Amino acid sequence: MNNTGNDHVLDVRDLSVSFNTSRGSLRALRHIDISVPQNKIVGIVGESGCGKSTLINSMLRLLAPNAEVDAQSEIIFQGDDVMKMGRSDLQGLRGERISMIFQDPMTALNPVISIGQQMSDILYRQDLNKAQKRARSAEMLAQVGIPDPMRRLDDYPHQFSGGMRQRICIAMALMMNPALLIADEPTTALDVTLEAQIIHLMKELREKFECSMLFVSHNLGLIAELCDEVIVMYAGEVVEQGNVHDLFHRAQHPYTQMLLECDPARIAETRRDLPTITGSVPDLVDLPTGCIFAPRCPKRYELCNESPPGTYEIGGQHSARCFKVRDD
Amino acid sequence: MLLYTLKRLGLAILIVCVAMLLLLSAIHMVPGDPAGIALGPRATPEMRAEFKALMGLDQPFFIQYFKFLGNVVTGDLGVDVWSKRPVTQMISEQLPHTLALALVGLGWSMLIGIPLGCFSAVHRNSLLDKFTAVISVGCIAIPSFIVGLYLLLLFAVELRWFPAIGAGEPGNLGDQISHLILPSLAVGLGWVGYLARFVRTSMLEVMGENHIRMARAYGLPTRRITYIYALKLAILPTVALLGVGVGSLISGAVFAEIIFARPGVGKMVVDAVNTRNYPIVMGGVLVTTMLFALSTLISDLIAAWLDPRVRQGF
Amino acid sequence: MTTITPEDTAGADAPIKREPRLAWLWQLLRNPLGAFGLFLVALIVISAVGADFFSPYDYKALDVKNRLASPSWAHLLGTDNLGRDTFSRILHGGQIALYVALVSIGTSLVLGLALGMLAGYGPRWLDNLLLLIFDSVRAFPVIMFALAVITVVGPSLETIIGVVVMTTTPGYARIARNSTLSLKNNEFILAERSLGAGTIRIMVSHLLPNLIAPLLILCSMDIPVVITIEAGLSFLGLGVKPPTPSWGSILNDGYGFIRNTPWLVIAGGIPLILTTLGFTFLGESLRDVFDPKLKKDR
Repeated sequence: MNNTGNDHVLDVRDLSVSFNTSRGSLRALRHIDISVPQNKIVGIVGESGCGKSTLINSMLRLLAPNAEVDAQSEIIFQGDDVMKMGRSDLQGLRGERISMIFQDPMTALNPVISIGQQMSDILYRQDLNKAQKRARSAEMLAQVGIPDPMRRLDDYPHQFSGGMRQRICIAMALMMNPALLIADEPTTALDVTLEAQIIHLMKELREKFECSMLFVSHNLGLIAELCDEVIVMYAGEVVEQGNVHDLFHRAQHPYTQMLLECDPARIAETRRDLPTITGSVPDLVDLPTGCIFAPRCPKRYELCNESPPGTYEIGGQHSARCFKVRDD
Repeated sequence: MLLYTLKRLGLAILIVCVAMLLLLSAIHMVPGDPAGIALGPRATPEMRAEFKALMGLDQPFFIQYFKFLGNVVTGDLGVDVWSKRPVTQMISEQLPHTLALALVGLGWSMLIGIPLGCFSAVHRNSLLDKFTAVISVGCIAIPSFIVGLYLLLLFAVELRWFPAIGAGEPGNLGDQISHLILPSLAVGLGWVGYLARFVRTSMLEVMGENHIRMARAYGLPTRRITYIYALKLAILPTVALLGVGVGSLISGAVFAEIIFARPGVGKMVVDAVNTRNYPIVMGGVLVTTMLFALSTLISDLIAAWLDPRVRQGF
Repeated sequence: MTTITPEDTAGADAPIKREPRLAWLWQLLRNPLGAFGLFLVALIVISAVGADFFSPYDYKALDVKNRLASPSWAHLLGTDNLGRDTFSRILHGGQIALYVALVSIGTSLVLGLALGMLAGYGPRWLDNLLLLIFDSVRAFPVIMFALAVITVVGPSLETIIGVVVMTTTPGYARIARNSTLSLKNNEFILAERSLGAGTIRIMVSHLLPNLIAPLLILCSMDIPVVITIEAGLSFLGLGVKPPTPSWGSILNDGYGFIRNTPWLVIAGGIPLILTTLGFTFLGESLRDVFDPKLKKDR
């Protein structure tokens, strides 16, 4: 298990990441504090560019070479700080204790290597011979519902449909029995029927394999259905987090509220225009003073423009980064 | 796969035929009398007529062309004007030498070029990368016969490390190899540049793709990711390039044979040009063109076969 | 209902930068390879054009007593097998090289443009036929093709130019054809035609500006190739006639006397190396300047 004393699989503390660009330092993540409890599904919601990808890349230290992580950032996984890990420990982490499922199954698999080989390669750390690795791979394929798995080990990715490829990716992710599974918009590239199947499969397997899951999506409906806790991100910050019920029914941060209102699935009456949030995402090189959402916020007041809010608790696990929460 | 092979083969044959047609028409479009040029100003009209008849140049153009094609199919490339030996036989005697030179040259360029390109991609923007970039352009730019001459000058004439002349004693493999080193290096060095750059670009492109990202996320050893996952994919377009390279390598082989006084098709053809030995020249051009078309075809087929997406699609 | 007007939009508009004239030239010069290439090219061109001026001796002048001399103050690069000053011969060799390059590439350019536009604009069968011809020409190893033509026609500078034109035209034609094809179906062309503009006018005014950059790049990459072909053929004794001092024929002389002195071969090789390097560096840098899409690995 873990030795931090709490039952969190993952604890991200004060994570700040910037990228060195020709225009200056792009502050992609600022003071992120999140945690993933044992055996729970945590969803991350946010629009494109909010930093979701940077966040999950940080967890496996897969950031681009021009990325800089602030010294005080800590990513504690099962008691060990990922940021301070050596090379071999990191290799041991990837694919074995933390696994990732990517967004686009069509490009996630190497086209010129058979899937059996790709799966066996993940097992390279295990002391198994070739036949044993193949057997394990076939077993996993069966678990995700691929028919005739032993024979299909020698097939190449292009011989599978998109849905089946995503299943293969899920099989690969769960093969080493990780403690944390990170799913980066796993169904965005799939159509709705496939999406339902894949989500069902993931729920089933997660229970079976007893791992925690970090589920990134911009589909609010999916998050509501799947997750135990939700984190809302905007422009590199966590603006609100809490359990799924609190977040969807008692959202406190104006951004969250507007997101919910704009979700087409929740619109009760037929109307001509879809609601939107006007304005655009701020420039992460040239950050505004004050709250990051202030320029687009309908409920802002003077203080919001002057200094950035801290994270204030609303109750239980629920917190938001908004002065209104503090002041109301 | 079979269908693809047949299609490519058909195309290659068509191109060679059209190429020969172009060659013949180019020659015929030139003003002047080939017989007169060949035999010199002192030739009598009878001598010229005889020459023309011998070469078949007295017949209408298209008849010549089809006769030529017909002959080629039966393997008859004409007869050497001076020694009366069949051209086909003479070419097949010399061809192995030229092929050996071209293939070993190709080997050099692969041996040096591919790792260079690979390292450059892995250590992008390092000193090695920048150095390789400049050297690559240099290799591409500098003519292969200059390289040959300088190699000859330095290693054979001045330092005497390698022999300067000939192909070595038949039957003595070691001797033949030592005779082969400098000329094949001269032939192959030019392509090092192309290969290195191509491999580099290809690798960089592949390494930016999603499946490589995923392999990293799974903690696969970096070495395996670079040299198997990435290189296997990156090398596919390189194979097609190699086929084209053989064409320029054949040209390089011609010069290498002259400079190092080696037997081969190139030397034979150049000598034939000087003696106006028309059948040998035409035969030589035809054979080298066919070789070039063949190598392009083979490399296309290999590239198609290596990519399982193509292999199973047909 | 939920529409909000933000007080200020994030991210101020950057002021529009005006591209200065000859921006490409400055960009080229900033690239060290480009600057070096330009320098070499300028060096070669100036020394060739001013060959008569810079030559210390008449390149034809014999001095047999002094044959195969090593470099000295009197003869900067030594003398050849007939006692002629190598340096002067090299300078004049530059004239030959540039002459061949300019004439043949110029002709290929014009011919290629015409054929390419024809292929692009004309009927489908014509396009296919021309493409087949282009591909067939590319099927030859160039040297072999040249040798075949020379056998029948006899060696001369004109023959070389003819061969080069035949083998390089397809390259230009392809570029012109591709541009024509993509332009042909472009909307604003259709718009112009509906306004009554004639075909030629359209092609000239719209096509040419787009073609300048790729053609310029192709030219500077072709020049060293052409010069190499001429030098190579002269080296084989099948190019220019003596006493014309092509760099290739100097190398040929040097090769014959390689055991007597290395200097002739060295001297003959240097201008070729400098020229080919210079133009290739220049061409590569031009390509980087004009087509940053190709630079995606930077």
